[in-house]
Amino acid sequence: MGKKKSAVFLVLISIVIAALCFVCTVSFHYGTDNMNTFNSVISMIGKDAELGATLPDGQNYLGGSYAAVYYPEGVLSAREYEEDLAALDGAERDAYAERYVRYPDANGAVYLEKETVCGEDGAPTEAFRTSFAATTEVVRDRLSRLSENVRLDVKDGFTLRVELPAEMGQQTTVFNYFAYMGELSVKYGTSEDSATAFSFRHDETIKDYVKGAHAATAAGGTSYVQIDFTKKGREAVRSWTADAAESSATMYFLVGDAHVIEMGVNAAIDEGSLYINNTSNPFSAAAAAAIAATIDTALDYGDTGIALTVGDAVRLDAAFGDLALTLLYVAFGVCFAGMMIFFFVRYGLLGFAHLYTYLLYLFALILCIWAIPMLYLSVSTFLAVLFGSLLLSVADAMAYESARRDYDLGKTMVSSVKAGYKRCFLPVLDTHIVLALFGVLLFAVSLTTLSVFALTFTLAVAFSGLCSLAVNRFMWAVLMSLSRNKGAFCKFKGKEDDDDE
Amino acid sequence: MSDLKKKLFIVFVALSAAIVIAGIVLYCLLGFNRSAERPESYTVEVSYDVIVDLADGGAAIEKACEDSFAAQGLKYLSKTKSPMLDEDSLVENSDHLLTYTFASAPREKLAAAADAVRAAIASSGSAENAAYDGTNVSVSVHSLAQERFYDAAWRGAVALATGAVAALIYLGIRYGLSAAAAGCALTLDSVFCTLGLYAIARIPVYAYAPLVAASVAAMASALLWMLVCIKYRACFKSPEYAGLPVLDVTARAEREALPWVLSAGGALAAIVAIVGAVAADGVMLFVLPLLIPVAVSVAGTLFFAPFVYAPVKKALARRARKKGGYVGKKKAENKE
Repeated sequence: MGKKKSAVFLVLISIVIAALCFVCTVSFHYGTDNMNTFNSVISMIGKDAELGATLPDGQNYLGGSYAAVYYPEGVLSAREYEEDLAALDGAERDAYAERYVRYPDANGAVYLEKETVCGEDGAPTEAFRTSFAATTEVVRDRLSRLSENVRLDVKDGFTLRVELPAEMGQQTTVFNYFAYMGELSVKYGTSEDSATAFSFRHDETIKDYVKGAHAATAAGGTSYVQIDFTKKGREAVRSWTADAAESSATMYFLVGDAHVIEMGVNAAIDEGSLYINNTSNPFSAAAAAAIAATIDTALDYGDTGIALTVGDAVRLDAAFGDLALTLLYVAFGVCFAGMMIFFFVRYGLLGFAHLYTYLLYLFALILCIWAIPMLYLSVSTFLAVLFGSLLLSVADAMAYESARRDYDLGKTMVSSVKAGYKRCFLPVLDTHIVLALFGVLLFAVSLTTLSVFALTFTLAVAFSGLCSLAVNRFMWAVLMSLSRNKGAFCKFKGKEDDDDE
Repeated sequence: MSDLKKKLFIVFVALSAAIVIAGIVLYCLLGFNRSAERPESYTVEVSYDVIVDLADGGAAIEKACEDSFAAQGLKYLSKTKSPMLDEDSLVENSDHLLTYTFASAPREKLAAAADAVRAAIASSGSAENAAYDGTNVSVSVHSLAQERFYDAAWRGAVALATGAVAALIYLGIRYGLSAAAAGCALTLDSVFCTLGLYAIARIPVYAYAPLVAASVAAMASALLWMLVCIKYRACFKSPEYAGLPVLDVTARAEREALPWVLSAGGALAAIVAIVGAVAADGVMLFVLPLLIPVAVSVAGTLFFAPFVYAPVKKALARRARKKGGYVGKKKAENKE
């Protein structure tokens, strides 16, 4: 490559890298009174429940989690009880106090309604305990279908504390829908009040009509809920909607008394599955998953006998503390400095080729993590990026050492680089393929945090392979053509030979 | 195979076997140490409204809480101050929730501390200090018991196994059955020794930490073993070592691969150590134990996998010679 061409390429690549570096890492205020903020890409990447940071504009907090408590009917928090009691006086107050017993003791945090929850001895009945255990299982099953890093605790024996990561989105939908308890019912009519349900025979249940529900995402990115019917269910729906072309109606799906989802019908339906989305307010993936989980678990578990209400919602900051993210960035800086020191010491100015290659790898990965909705910054994804960095460094070092071997034997720099890359191309490719295979399958089969780690790792391996085999060689050619003493440039010992092309 | 190497191999196998067996027994009896997740805990929660927030931001309440905990000899694990939200919209209302978490504490002491906090808050609304007049402060003691999700763990284990099998199949296709067999033994050893050490050392783990550690062990083993396999292939194809016994060639290849294995393993260990050292407590708890899978992978690559590879390679080469078929010429010979 000619010197002029190389210089032009080098300037262009430097500008691109500088621009990427600026966009990815620098946040600043601008405009009148600094009213506007440019948020860097890295500040806008979602964070998981353990990491978190406020956006540079000071408006939003990324990361952390939301928590809420589910109270069964007949169970009150001490706070609510005290507030209700404080609003009453005289006989009303005494009557109210008489209705409840504090649980588990005089310092308990919840009050149980004697009539609905307790037996004659003032203790929770066995029936209530059984129903609560079944309700806990329903909520646990629903949360497990979200494929998110969620947490469920039994609080004070008879309430449920649910914690959802903030980056998941649609927490309101999830909290409210997952509180719906009861049997699944399907109704059809012009309004919910006048709608009619499937008419079962005495030996039939809803399971004889509805197989299940799950969420999916269409090719265009729209999330929807798919509800599958049995043969009987399909016939019933066909019979219902036979006149829909003349007078449109709506199909309602309810869990207990709560309306979960509906679908407008203006033509006859003769399908085994219904695909429901909300065109005016499209479902997010999390909302679709929550709706499908609510319907499917209602089908599986039926009515547990307990109704839940949502209360005590709070927002929680990063579990590891606000400093955790900053310290991770510092650790990255230390690792980066160590890597570059090694390359500059071992390979001299050839270290710049690795620097350019690495920066392109890093910014490509940052942009992918920001752009792909399911990816977010967590300790495990951070480690995946660093592992990919190690892989890239090993691959580059293999190429440099391979070329050094030939140069030390007396070959020219150009033929040494050619022979070196030829020798190490397949081994480097094989290493990347082995690790990529591992990452792809780990992503495809696993759930939650491991899945995110695996996808990030696979992307890191892919970019590492591309950068080490293509970008690094190109940068080497560009930088080397600007150097007079190629051997000294790369700190290779051997015969001097000028063979500029 | 030198005597020293044989001894190291035997020691490694014995140690691995002991770790795996002890790890399995301890896991079956006690599981992993999930104390970091706080599977069972107590909290003292104080909810207060905007009047308190405007008065002093809740500083007096925090002081009252911490004084009463100290008086009862209670030490809390964490303190969080969270804005309370409207349940329907998750928009902040003006209330706040101050939560102190305890790993374990006698309920009477927590109750006594809660009573002391209530008394302190009530007195802070006196005539001398009317800052908390009209406030709505509630103090309560709670117990929490975590519900576990097993599906993600099972899926993760299956995913790990599937990914490892696919990677090893590719390794076998490209580098031969002996490389795949040794890689398989190394991966299994690394993963189970890592999990065994986590169980034996009772390292506190979060939900997914054992799976991430097992993944790191598998990936590190794959990377380091690939570096050795690359040298094996180069040496077996090199005319310099043509005609030498299989064990001699493998020994030379392992010597050439040693700096690469130590450098890559050392770099990985350095990354984990740096991130773990320059980290918040929670991150440190997660990252520093990852030195275990890195160390196990390096040790296995040096002292275990080569001793599985060499005999298998030797046996396969002997079988190929017995068959008397075309076994292929070295590339260099073909060129000549």
